[in-house]
Amino acid sequence: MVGVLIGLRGTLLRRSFSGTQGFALGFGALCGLTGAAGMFWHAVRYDVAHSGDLLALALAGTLVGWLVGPVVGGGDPGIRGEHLALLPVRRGRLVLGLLGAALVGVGPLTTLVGLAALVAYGARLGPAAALVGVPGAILLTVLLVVLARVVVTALGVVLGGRIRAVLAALPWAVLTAAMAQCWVVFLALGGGTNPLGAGVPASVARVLRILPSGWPLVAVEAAGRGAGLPAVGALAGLAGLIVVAVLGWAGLLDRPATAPVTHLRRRLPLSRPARTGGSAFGAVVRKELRTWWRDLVRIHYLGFALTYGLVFVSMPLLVGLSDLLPLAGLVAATMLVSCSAHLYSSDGTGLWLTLMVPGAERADVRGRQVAWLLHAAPVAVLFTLAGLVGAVHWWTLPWVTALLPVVLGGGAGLIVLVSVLVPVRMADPHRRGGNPGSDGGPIGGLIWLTLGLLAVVSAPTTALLWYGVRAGSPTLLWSATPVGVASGVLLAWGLGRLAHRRLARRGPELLARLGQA
Amino acid sequence: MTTNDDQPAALRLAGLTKSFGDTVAVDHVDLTVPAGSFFGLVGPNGAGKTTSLAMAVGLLRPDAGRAEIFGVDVWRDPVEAKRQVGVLPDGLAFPERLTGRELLGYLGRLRGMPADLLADRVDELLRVLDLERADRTLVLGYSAGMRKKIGLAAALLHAPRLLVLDEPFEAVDPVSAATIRAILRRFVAAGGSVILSSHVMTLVEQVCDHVGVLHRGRVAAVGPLDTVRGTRSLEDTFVELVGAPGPSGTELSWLAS
Repeated sequence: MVGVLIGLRGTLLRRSFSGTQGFALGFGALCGLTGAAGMFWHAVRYDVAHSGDLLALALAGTLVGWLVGPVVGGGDPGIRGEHLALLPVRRGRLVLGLLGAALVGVGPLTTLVGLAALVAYGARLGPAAALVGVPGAILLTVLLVVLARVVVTALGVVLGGRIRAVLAALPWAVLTAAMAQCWVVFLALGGGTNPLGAGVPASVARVLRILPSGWPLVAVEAAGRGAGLPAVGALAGLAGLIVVAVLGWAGLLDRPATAPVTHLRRRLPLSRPARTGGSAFGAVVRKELRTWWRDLVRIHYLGFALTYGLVFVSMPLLVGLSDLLPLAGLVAATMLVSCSAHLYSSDGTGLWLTLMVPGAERADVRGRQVAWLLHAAPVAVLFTLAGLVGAVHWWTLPWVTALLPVVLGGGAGLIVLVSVLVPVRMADPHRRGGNPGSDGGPIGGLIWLTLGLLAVVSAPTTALLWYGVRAGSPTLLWSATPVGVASGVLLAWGLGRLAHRRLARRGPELLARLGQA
Repeated sequence: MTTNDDQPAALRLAGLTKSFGDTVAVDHVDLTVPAGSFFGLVGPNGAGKTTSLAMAVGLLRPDAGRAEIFGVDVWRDPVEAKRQVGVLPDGLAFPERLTGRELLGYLGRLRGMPADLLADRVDELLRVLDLERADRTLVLGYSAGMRKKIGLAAALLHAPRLLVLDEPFEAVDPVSAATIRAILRRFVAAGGSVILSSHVMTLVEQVCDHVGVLHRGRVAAVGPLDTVRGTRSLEDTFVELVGAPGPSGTELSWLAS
């Protein structure tokens, strides 16, 4: 059973080394190996104590990555428990088989390569420490893979309504935002803002070793000191955690995943087509607004983006800095852009209806843009105003008034253009459940791509602001606002135009690629 | 195969070809659906029916060949061609998070239909196809048969001259199937043209007046139903054309032994 599933996973993996999916896999592997190289570098670059602390930090980062990764997509193990529901095998063997299959993949492999830095670090402490690094790396890899599976399965059980979809996004948003703002924690605890140079504060170093991700490091360091018992204890603890996580996973597999929203509680007043008419554009806007409010995965991403924005700007309050608060809307809007660049992929082959209506491509693209703006803009403006009122930092005002229009306008352009140009592999909506962990598709790469493009299109405005600050010129600083507004409008119009012309010209090709998922 | 009057054919495929990698899915298919005819496209699984129909309506770009709807080239003038056709593809998604009523309303407005006309047609289609009770169910929650019916309603909504239906009766219950058959017959009697694909021979014999047999991406036979089947049943003709070996009775002897 276990061998069969591992073999099956291997076959599926081999088949996926082509096309967009192969590209995504290759890109993921490259990122993973770069991270691994960085981990090795830090493990050997500094003096032993400093390296150990940095390694603990990197291990914690890896843990967060494995916990959050599946939530933002790409966690599809290829083989799902429900596919095997009818097989007459005992639960224990089924779980072991699924675990074995989950261990085969680019993610686990690059993680293992990175965690081998434990061995390199151990080698600096002595042969025994290096030796302990081997089981440490392997056990932690297994634990991370199991935890990711637990997260995905739990999400499927939890996501059963709009509120719960938002709530389920909270932990991940808090975790990633806190990770991005970890300098605040260091500063609050008396360290420097740059852990690479100044080192990790002692208290943080201790916490990082208390986290399960730090246990293999504890084992390696204990072995280096010649303390056999703590070393064995830490490794045994890891093994114990794996057992607990596997048991938890098995328990979750028994509970059926909640079905996506398929019924409306009440009949909506708009259910009947209005007799007052309406344009094609209006029809798309209405359809998209409804989809935004009924698609749990979209709501989940919405919750993620907004929470991320709030936590990102609030974290510095811990060290008495309220300067970022007025940027809440900006950060939330940026995250929302990055989480929305797969509109056509998430609709799947539903594109055929648009293609069969003569000349509907333009209305479709424009309608999607406006529906997105109707969500993003009010929230971003509200967050910004709240932030400004909450902490009156006038220096942020020109930044907000210049950058928010670019991010919203440029974002409205980018999400449709990227959606049309870079389809990602996602199951059709009627063939998937409501779980972004297993259905969300590999949008991790899209998120980074969109963030990068957003930085590019807002570069002129940012440059103006930058030079304004450097030259101490209010005129220059404030001139960024009209530039920001103009480029936002221009980008929304221009990128949207590129998108609908591309859709009109190559619509069937896009449909074919969406249909291959 | 030509039409017997001056009207151009409802659908004409000429040399239509499509390969996926090394597999030739559709190999120089020539097919004419005369205006006013009820055309059945049959063939075994994987014969190229779905691929041919997708290329015929502009959803899949052919490697070679032409597709014309009432004389308008689908790939050169897609806007004009698509005005005249209603399509029901097999297994594709809809805007899943709309109710059936919302879906039809959306589609009608997308096509620029006048609001009053649209509202009346949506009401009538939902009633006739027995989808009214699912007023609060999103299409996502529809059964396979209901998906076919809402797809058919979407294809009929703008009163096209040609209907291209891929497996319209699959998973549809007998009562609904009878309703759909009646709707399609009435549509043809009023001058409309239909091409549908199916692998249920008896159904094709019941409703179609023309038939085409696809096998391994090629047209094995095409013409008026009686010409193609001769004195035999369509099923016998079909089995002979596609050359399937009959069961010998010795297979699967281990089953239930």
